[in-house]
Amino acid sequence: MNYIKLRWQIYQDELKQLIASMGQLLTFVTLMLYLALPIMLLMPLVWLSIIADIQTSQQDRVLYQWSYFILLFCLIRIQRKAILASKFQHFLACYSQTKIMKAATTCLISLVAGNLLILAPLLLSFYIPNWQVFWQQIHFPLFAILTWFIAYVAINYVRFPWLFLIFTPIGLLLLSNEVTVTAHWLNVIVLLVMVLEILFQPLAKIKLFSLSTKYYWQVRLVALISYPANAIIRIFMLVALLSLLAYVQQQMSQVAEAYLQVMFCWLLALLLGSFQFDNEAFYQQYELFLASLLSSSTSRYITDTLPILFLAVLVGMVLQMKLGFYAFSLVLLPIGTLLTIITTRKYQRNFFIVPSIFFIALAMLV
Amino acid sequence: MLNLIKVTKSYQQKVVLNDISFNFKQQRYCIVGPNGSGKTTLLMLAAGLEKPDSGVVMYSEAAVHNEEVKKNIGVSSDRIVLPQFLTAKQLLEFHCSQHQCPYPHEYIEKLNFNVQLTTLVSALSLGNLKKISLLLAISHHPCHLLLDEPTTGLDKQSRVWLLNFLAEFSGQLIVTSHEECFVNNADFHQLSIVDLVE
Repeated sequence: MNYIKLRWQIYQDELKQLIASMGQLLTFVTLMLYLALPIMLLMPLVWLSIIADIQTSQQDRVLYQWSYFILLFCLIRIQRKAILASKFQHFLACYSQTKIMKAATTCLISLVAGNLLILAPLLLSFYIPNWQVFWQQIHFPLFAILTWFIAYVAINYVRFPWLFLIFTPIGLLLLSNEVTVTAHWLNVIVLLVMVLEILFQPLAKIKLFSLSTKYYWQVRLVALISYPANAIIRIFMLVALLSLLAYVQQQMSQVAEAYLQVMFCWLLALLLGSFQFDNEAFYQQYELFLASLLSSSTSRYITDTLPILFLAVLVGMVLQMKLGFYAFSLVLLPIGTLLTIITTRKYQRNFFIVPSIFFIALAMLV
Repeated sequence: MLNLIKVTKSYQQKVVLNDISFNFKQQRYCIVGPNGSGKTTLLMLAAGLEKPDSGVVMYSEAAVHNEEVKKNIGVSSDRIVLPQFLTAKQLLEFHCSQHQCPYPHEYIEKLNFNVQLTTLVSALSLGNLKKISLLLAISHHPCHLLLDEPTTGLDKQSRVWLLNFLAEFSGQLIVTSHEECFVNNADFHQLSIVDLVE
């Protein structure tokens, strides 16, 4: 067995374990999105056609490009340890391998891990017929390069690229009415920001240890900033669902029926309530440390639950004010979220049963 | 003083401690016994970090889960997983804020821990993890100190300071250890966990 085969086998084995550990989530997603799943899987490829179109508005471009970037980042990031064979780094270091061989192996496995999300933009870039068109459509090859950079950052940098993945799109969206940037320049600027973040990591200069940790909520805030992946994936899914609904309503020129609104609140409540899984994991990991604190477990539980409920109220307001939902969503979503939080704590993997019965009964009444 | 009354604890149907009753009347105890015999579990129960399946843990007529009692307990054990995402300084600040005690500059100095303050807990070496664990146990000047293998991994200077500190400690001290400095120490009442369990 040579080095590449060994790394490949480690990757496969780690991936199997990862999939097994995510079995519960995958079952839930399959149950909830049974019919929509193939469409959702193909959606990033549909986004590519919008990104490739030079006529796409700046606002849409930012939304679609960053949805693609975040999806790619998450996909690679969750496989990072499997790609790098981190668990076996000392074992692998016992054998002399050239740096080129190691890098090439990592690159090859990354391609497999990133799959179509990395390869599709590259292949489409080669599909451009001649140099003239290539220069006209230069924004797309630049986008393809960016996807490679993202894969590189997801694998090689422990820190989350806040500047590139979060602050840049927010800045671009806020400025979209004041400043118009062409697709070419947009991607050039984005590429520069990415390189800047890779080389200097400016946000890393903001030291986490300067944050105060006198109270329990501050400790949880530091934990969230240190390991933001789960929260970001959920917020990304939340934004994707809301965007999908806005898009469908816009295309059909009508607001969803009342029972559909209830069903949508159901989906969002399960998603928001599932934040409790992270809290439960935290309680489990630091069980004895938390037991040594003077504060009661109830007060800590409430402290951890309030931000989720606040987010539910916020989403409820977006549903009512921006998407034309009835006022009941303002109450229904926080109640559904609270119910999901409680059932997550009580029933763990069967967390969705009670909220589902509640929402289905409500939809039938409506 | 610590008093265990008919305490039973099991993990995954394996009984570790069965119906133990013992009144810790002496000031200093060293709990000895083979690996896996339940020494650390006993300390966790005594500190109120784990709940017994049955029985009660008392400190001078008050249950261990009472807030006033908890304030007076200091515990250090490798079994307590500390928040990996905090720096040592953040962790100490949190601890001091919880117990409303001053920041332990002197102890940090004595344990030569200053350089490690800005290091994440996840990046601390074994010895430094032991130091932060000890700092958390002693910072709030507790009346009852429960230390699980307190000298393991410590450098020579820190070890000497810790032993002097413990020698001068005026409260109740319970340690688990295999080290000569505790096992063959006349100041410590030796308590075999095997005898206790039987």
